[in-house]
Amino acid sequence: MRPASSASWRSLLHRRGVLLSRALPALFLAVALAGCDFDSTARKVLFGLNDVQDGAFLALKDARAQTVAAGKACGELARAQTPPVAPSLEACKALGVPIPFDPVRVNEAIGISNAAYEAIRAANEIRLGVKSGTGSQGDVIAAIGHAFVAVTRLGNAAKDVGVPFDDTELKKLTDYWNGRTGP
Amino acid sequence: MSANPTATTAPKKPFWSKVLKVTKDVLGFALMVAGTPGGAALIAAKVPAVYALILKWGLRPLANVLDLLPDGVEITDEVLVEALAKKGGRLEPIDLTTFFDAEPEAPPVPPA
Repeated sequence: MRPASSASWRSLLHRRGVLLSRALPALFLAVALAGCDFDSTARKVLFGLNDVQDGAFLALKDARAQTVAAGKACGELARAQTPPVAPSLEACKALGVPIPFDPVRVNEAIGISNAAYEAIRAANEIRLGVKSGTGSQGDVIAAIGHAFVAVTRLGNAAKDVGVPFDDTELKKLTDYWNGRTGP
Repeated sequence: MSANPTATTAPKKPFWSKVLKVTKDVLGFALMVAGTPGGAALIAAKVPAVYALILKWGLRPLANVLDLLPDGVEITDEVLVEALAKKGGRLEPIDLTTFFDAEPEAPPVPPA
């Protein structure tokens, strides 16, 4: 006999000694995880990692533009001095045109950002390859692992440069991925 | 910067997504209560299943996983390919040999 309403369900659960509030978490996880196969998890993680890389990329792009503009302005000002001053980070600060970000560190972060960009796309190619019959799930796990390492390094590099990087989403993605594939 | 896939894509949600959303909200509230002083004991007494999950996963990882569990919005191959094409990018390093020169440097390489 099937209960006709939610009240009937509740009374059935109570009769069997099961409180709805106690059963709900397990029920939820069962439904949610059942609808979440490996490929779906991989897609979601790659989508999220791409968003994180995009955020750092835009912040670095802005930092790069500011740094280049300040370098040019400082160079012009240094050459206009009598006698001309050899431009350097210290000289620019003394001339009143400080360079907002260390250009060497910006370049290091750009390299790491580019590597993260490639790692995410490479992981997606490997994922698509597995779907079409080449490679294994282990290859996807390894490739997404590399992408995580690359994006984590990007976060550290961005912080070193001094550009904003919120790693909340990266932590969420890491926990989500580890929860499905093991740490 | 938002990496929440549900924030940037809006495919049609299936009918059960609302049920999952409400359940996630309830679980999220329980986790929030568990994070307050004395809250863990309350959750252990009232909702032992949630407390068991907290013990197994840890409070913050569980909250993070909960936040990303599916709520009916699926990232399809097409959505992912589109996102990879539109978002993210590569930058050309700053040319340090001409850093203080007046000439404008070459424009950055657009993403492939």
